[in-house]
This record gives sequence, structure tokens and C-alpha cells, in this order.
Amino acid sequence: MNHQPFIWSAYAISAIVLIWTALAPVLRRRRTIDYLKQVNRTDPTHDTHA
Amino acid sequence: MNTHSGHKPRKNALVLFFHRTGSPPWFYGFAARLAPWLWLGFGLLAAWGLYLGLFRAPPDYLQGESFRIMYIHVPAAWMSMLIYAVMATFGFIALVWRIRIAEILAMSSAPVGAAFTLVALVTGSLWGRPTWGTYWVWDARLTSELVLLFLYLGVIGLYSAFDEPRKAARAACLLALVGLVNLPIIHFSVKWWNTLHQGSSIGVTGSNIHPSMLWPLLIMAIATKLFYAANLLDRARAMLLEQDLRKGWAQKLIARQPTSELPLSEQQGSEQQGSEQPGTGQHGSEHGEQV
Repeated sequence: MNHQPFIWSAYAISAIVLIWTALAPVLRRRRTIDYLKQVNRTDPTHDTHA
Repeated sequence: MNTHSGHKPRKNALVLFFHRTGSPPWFYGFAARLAPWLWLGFGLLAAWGLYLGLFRAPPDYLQGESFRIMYIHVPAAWMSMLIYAVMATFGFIALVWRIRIAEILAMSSAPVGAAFTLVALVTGSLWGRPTWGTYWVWDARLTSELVLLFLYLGVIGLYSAFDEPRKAARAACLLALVGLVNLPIIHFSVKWWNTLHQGSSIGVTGSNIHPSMLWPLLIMAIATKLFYAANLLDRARAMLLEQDLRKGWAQKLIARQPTSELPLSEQQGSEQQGSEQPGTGQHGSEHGEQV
């Protein structure tokens, strides 16, 4: 039995899961920063220091 | 005693460090400085470990080439249990001492642990097909590892189910502590029951794996620990910022950030998705008292 497809599938799936796990918090933080910047830009009177 | 001369007694450096980690702005900056080094260490070790494991280690006399799945499967399985233990420890600290950073670290650990558990299950299944002749059996080790995945998902789900993040974290930490009982079951399942899954090849006293196959495994084990540490810090920073959006330190931080490259329309589009908005949604920032 050729084992190569099992080996490379295992590593490919692991890479996808771990890359997504690594990128998710970076994207989430960037989204939060963008959101707050937009709120500050569109509503400068918005009390953000409450 | 220098207290008589009006000097305050010196605090232990370790105690001071723990006091400082309780401060969100300090923790945020500390994590931002440390995480890139951890990522670098992970990248170098993973590249080295995978090169040795996939290209330099000789094929196994019994399993042939399929044993190479071990270099991702075994570290992922170890991490799935280690992260759960760390999450439960942070959960215990959060429940007993009400330290907010501990809550955030516990809740940030859950998705990373779930990811490693998923990797361990999938790679184990792909390893099982050429060696056992099947992708899955309801074996004690496999089933208890699947239960671990459900426990992680339960912690993540419970945390998302509450509006108030601190209350949510306390409930989820309690579930994490209850789920600890599954760890010895996973570890000893191959001894307690007659399972298809093989027993441990590496113990405290030594290993029966040849060094040429063992070293890549140990390198990958360290690499996955660095991955967890770096990812945990990134997740904790994101969560902390979301909860503290309206606090002064977060505002100062935002003011220092360069302008977003995202077009405004795309930002508005992303805001309309889902009910959880940063700073205004489920786990909004109305309640982020600092510890």
C-alpha cells in the first residue's frame, strides 16, 4: 500500500488547521482596531473613556 | 530590618512580575514584544523537526513510511492534553483569585487546544487506515480524545453563551475544571483497557524509539509548545482589546496605530455581520474592570 497520500494529507490538513488558528486572532484584533477607528472617525463626540 | 529606617521592604521580582501581568496595558505590551520571538522559534524548530522527520529519519521496519505521521500526530496529541491542563489551571486561578488576565488566558487556550485535538484525531485517523486498516474504531484512547474535543467545544460554546464576559469566563472555567477528569482517562486508557491504539513509546525513564526517529519528535514537541505560547498571547491580546475598547489605554493604543488599509465600505460590511460586535456586542466592553 502506498502510504504517501496518507502522510501528505495528514500534514496538509494539520497545516490548514494550524495556520487558521494562528491567523484568526490577528484578523480579529485588526478588525477590532478598524472598528474603533471608524467609530472615532464618524462620531468624534462618542465617549470612549467611560 | 530596613522598615525602621522608613524604607519599604523590597518585593520579590517574581511577585512584582505577577502583579504587573494583572495590568491589561502592561500585559498587552509584554505579549506584543514576546509573541514574535515565540513565532520565530516555532518556525525554526518546526522547519528543522519536519526536515529531519520527513526526509532524514529512516522508514520504520514494520510500518514503513506511514510512521512519519507521528511527527505531527504525537506532538498534537500531547498538546491537546497539556493545553487542557493549562486552561484548567488558569481557570482555577480565575475562579479562586478572580484575576481577569487568568480568565482571558483560560478562554484563549480553548480554541488552540481544540485545534490541536482536531489535528490529533484527523492525523491519527489517517495513520490508522494504513496500519490498522480502518480510519476509526471506538477504542478507549480515540473515544476519550474525542470527548476532549467536545469538552473544548463545550468551554468555547459556554463562554459565547453569556452576555457578560466575566460571568461567561467563570462558568466556562468551572466546566474546564470538571473536564480535567478526562485527562487521566486519556493517558491511562491504553493501560486500563485492551485497546487497538499502541501504548506509550516514550516515558519518564526513557524511550524505545531509535534516536534518529526520536529527535525530530522531540523538536516538534518543543515547536508545538512555542506555537501554543505565541498563539495564546495573540489571542489574549485580541480578547483584551475587545473587552477594553472604551478604556483609556486602548484608546491611546488605537491612536498610535497606522490608518487602516481597509476601505470604509468593507469595514461597514464586516460590522453588519453577526450579532457580536467588538466593544458593543455580546462580550462588549461595558464591563472590563481591571484586576
